[in-house]
Amino acid sequence: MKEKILDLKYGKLHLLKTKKFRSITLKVLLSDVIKKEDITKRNFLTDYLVLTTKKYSTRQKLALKIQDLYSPYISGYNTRLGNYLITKFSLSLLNPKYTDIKMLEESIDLLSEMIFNPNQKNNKFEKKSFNIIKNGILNEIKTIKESPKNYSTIRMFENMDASKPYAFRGYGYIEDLEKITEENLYQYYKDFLKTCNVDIYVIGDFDDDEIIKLVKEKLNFKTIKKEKTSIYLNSDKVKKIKTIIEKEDFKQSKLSIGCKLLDLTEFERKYVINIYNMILGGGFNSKLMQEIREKNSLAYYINSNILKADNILLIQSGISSNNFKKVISSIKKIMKQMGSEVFEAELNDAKTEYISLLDEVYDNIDSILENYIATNLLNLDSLEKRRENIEKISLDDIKNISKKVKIDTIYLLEDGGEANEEI
Amino acid sequence: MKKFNLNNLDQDVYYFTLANGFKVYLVPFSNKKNFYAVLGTRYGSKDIDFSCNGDIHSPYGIAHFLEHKMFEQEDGIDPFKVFAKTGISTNASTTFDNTRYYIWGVNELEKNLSFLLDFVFSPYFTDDNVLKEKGIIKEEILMYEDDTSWALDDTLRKNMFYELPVKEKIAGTVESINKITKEDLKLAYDTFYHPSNMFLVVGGGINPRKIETLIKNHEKLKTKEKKEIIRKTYLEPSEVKEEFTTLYKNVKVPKIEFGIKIKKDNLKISDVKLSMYLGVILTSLFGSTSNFRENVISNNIATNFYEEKNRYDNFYTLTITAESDKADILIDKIKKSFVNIKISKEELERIKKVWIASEIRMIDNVEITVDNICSDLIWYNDVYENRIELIRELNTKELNNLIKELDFSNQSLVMILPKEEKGLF
Repeated sequence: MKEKILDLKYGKLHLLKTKKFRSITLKVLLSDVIKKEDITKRNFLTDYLVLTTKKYSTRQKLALKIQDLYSPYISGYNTRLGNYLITKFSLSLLNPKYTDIKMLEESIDLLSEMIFNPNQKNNKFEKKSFNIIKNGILNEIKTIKESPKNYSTIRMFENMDASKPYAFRGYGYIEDLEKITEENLYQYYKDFLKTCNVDIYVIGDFDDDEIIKLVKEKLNFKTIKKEKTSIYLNSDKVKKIKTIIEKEDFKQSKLSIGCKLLDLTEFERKYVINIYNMILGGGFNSKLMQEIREKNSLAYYINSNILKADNILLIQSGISSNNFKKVISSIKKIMKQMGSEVFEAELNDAKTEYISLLDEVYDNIDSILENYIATNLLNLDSLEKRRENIEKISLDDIKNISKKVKIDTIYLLEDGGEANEEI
Repeated sequence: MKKFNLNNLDQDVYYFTLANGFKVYLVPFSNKKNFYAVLGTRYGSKDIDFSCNGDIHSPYGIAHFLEHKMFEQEDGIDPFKVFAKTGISTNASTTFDNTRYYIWGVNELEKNLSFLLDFVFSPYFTDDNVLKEKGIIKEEILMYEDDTSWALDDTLRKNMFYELPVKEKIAGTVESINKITKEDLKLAYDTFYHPSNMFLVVGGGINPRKIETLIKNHEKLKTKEKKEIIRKTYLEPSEVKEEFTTLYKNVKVPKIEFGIKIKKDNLKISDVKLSMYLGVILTSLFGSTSNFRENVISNNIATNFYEEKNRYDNFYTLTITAESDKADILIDKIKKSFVNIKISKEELERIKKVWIASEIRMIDNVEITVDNICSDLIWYNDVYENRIELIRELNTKELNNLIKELDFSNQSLVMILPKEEKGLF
């Protein structure tokens, strides 16, 4: 499959043609440099745009319209990647040849209605819909602690460096929510549409000319192009390991460890760190899983993940708090072994596992699309090139990179104890 | 080996059954490289009482425990490592009525499939390896206890059922798993991991003929003997055991799960149609286009609202789960919805149209297609070749007759309230 990229006045249109699937997916990405105080507003805006429109003002009216179109999946959500906050609108419909030839145009019409024709009057969003959505967001923020694993990771990052984007809470903040009004959100909407970066992706079996015509006609953004900030956070320094323990009323303690990746070379960042992670905590055969779970029965899960754009490696586990010290010293021991006791066989297994993850991408329409998006955003190589370069990684590469992975913050959300009232 | 065309949509499914009763379904996708294989047994957390030279009562959580232990091999070989050599991923899961072992990846299907059969048919239990697993499963149980949606589900089932073992959690409790011995595991294994009670479903970029040859010659499937499993039959009343339970937990917004218990016996309709019509009723009452949802959301009565249908032996439960700080109003509205249910022809046709579109989309996905075949095998011991045709057959006459026959009066409710509110009521 070849990606065809077209320059539109406001951004890029990426076309991915394949006959492998019975559906067509279109994604609109609107992104800008993240600011902490924007997160709550943007969440509110995205929900507002996809849950009510001028023409279909209630959820019921919108749901009926979607069913008329043979129920395409249509959604809007925000994600952070490195320095950027990205709003993604996603439309996925059954290829019209299985339904009705008009469905492609009518589905894009609905997406266009959501983005360009919001439920507003006299430069104000509509009060009733506004309040319903506000209530939903308030609940989400209030229930943040009810996913203790995520909450533990959020608190770990806040303790690592509260000023960095990785420490910003994706759900937003109550104090910011309280400042949002029907007027200022509408103003924010207008400003955002003028200044965001726009990328549109389409994948499936379609006619190029038809898609280009529909996109130009119905997704006609009027944004001003601007200078791009790098998506990658700068590499950081580690002074001394911080250990923080906070108590909550849960049955199991949740451990989050943030490691900083110091001054990786381009090859390390693109390739070696993935294999390092695979060996350390990337799957069932990883060193962490074998040592902590299989040998010592200390946990049901323990894994590590790379946050590439943040230059962070994250370790997460659920443990009993009385095993905390034991688990930490095991983890430190294993991380030390990464510099001295990794063997050829482990390295080869990790490469094979990683390459087969790459191979899995090809069979699922959404993973192909998301892979192209990530490749463009993070400036990665093509899947084919990645397969080749992974093979070049040596034991010395793993040894070298292990010196650049430094534990910075250890956070334990400890079970039992009195609940902390503040959110 | 025979074949049929799935949903009449250009997708072949091959199938055969061995003399010992082992069922095999193969779904070759012409345009995919990956494969996904599921080896399953119709043995889940509910199967604790059975006969084997006398009546056996196993500790709760044994099926899940067994699933964990199957990955231990006598020669010390770790199945995860073996699969990883060729880049294959593996996992397993246990539910109320089945246990499944999965592999997925791109390379060397036949070799890996053969090993999947080898390891699942080679149990190895020792006192030491059973003890080791208790620590791991204890952490798994504690992890789920901190999850409010599991707490709601688990408590609601406990409220609803007197006798059916689904009243207990799939993984059991820390106490019950501590009682499990290697002898318990061996007995359960010998009873339920017999080819007669098992199936294999493989989909993706596969060659059905090659897999057929492999299965028909596999050492572990050589037995010709069929085995009959005698499971205990429970005398489960139609009524719910408890109508109401409140839990106090570390939450900020109250949560509820409301459930209706429905007995299947005596209903003059096939199992699969009953399941579909219950789905129609739930979708009509609470789905995205329902008046109920619009009313509840637009008046800020609830957020995060969803409806579900579950199948437990000869019972169904319909459940509604929500976050709400106006729980009394919400519950009153839910209860009223089940009185005088009316679904128009137009609405039924709308639901059917949406479901048919979704069936067509699902065939693009190997995992979903394979999993759906597994579900059919577990629930109906057979596979429905054309689900779209079944959906087309749904009609208001049958639906309205069924609504008249159904008893929605066996209801139960679980609430989770913030701990701070304890003592206020």
